[in-house]
Amino acid sequence: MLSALRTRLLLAIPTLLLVSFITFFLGYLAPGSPIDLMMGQHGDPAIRKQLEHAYGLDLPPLTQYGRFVWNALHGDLGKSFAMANRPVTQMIAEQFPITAFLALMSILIATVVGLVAGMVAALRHNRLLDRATMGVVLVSVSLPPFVVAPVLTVLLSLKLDWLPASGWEGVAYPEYWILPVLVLAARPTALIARFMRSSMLDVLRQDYVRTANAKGLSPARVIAKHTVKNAFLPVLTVIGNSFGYLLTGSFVVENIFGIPGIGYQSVQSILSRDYPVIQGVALLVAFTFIVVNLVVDMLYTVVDPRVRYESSAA
Amino acid sequence: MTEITDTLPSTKPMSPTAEAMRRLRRNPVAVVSALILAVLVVVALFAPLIAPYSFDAMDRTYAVMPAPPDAKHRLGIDNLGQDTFSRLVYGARVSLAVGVFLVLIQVVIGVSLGLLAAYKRGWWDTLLMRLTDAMFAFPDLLFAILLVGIIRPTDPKLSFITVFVALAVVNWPGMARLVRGQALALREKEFVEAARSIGVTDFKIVTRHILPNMLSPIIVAATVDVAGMILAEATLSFLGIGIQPPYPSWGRMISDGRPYLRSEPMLLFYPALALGVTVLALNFLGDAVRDAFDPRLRE
Repeated sequence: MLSALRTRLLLAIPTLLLVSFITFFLGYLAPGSPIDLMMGQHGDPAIRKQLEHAYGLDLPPLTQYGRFVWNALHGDLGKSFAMANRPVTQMIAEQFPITAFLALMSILIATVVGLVAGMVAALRHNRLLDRATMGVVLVSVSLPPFVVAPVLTVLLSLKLDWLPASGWEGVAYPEYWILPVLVLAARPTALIARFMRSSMLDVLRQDYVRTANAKGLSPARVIAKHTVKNAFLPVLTVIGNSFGYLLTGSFVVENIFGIPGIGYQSVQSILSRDYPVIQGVALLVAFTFIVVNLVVDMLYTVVDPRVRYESSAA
Repeated sequence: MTEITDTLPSTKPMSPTAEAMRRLRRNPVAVVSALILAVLVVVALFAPLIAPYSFDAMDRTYAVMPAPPDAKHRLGIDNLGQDTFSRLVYGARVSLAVGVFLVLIQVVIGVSLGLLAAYKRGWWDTLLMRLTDAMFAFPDLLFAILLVGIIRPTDPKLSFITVFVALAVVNWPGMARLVRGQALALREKEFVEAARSIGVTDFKIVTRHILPNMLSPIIVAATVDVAGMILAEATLSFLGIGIQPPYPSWGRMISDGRPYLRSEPMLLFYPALALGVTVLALNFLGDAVRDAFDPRLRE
């Protein structure tokens, strides 16, 4: 298990290099330099030269990339062009926990609600409750967060005045994060419910479930002991994949609700061509994704003892 | 002497596709979705005839903008004096064009690469699998956001090209993997072996025997992907890095309507409704198509 872990982490290195390489050179080749944005209309060539030198933008591209990777290995992702020279790592350290918190709360709600809804739908297969649940699921999958958010805002904030429409006061003030978390959770909840339902339907058809029923176990016991755990396995992958969506969704949701997380920052940085921040965020997302997939794979071995890491596994 | 008659009930043999279409026609949800989409296609094709104003015409006669609906502007005007109904109509054109063209591109790339990998095997296959693995290791819409964010052009016309390129770059791996898997399974089938044994060329085997047999999974995946691409474009435009004004995009209209959520909420809800209904119709139709083509659900 430990050696498998080590191999997986080693395999993450080429992925991270690829991501950094692509974002770096796209930024290098992109039209419009960040210096233009900093200097505005009036461009004194001497000051431009000075600025380019200060940011190392006058070096050959491969040297620039080499420096970027070398510094990144030492925990330095460069300084923001737009945000008064703030170190990118510092910005990430401040903003990523907020995004991570929203993502974790969303996945928690999505898992609980999704599993229950999927189970109920499967046990009432083809009846009204099943069809209604699956209808709600399809609607939730189809509507993007920027359609769901205004509907909920008008309903819960403007009409009922239950929750503030936007803002962020920290984790201790749930009235500010309930709405964003619900908006983020809508799609993962629906996907988990859909997979849990079809997975349950598969398991309910298995011979061992028939055996359990035949030997006279109570239906509740058959479901709790023989069905749910087996049905849960394929759903675990969906939960893992949802993190990709949650990171993307945070770009939209944090902008809508004015939450100072990494998604909000990224959009601001993209709009101001703040390349060091964009590169830093790309690396962070790739790294998070790798870690999440690793955790999901490890969870597999916990939930299902049949899945074992072989020491030779690549 | 008795006459010998055929006592078997007469059943007309039906091709699987014809049978699937028959089942699709009997599904009310599928029919309604298809009708909605047909209306949308007509609106998109004849946008200049349906829209009362051009998408970028600004009516400067109003003292307060955005303004609620009146006789001149049936759905009101936005903060720039642009007719909301006209922009919705042209927005349908943008959304459908994005969805249809991107899925066509994706099918072309996915089918060629997937078939190449499955049929040539060797390093073609290894290359495709490693490349798609690397792409799957990063959330695709986020990749597209970073791509357009970085290559974002200054000319609004070029924004169409960057959106198309970015979404095409991130979206082909799924289709390529699907086609590869199907082709790998089909090439081992007896009828392919039979064709090969009588000396049919590889090209003919692929185009006559393998490709037609994997059409239904490709169609199902493509239908659902049109919805995905429309949502992706709307997300990019919502974030301000997709289709640039004055060109209309439902995603951008939703974003532009946000400051007026209290005073003119319909400015946001009309494009939201258009987007929601379109994507729902596509997803409902996609689900119905999948069920119709699924041989396990045959009565």
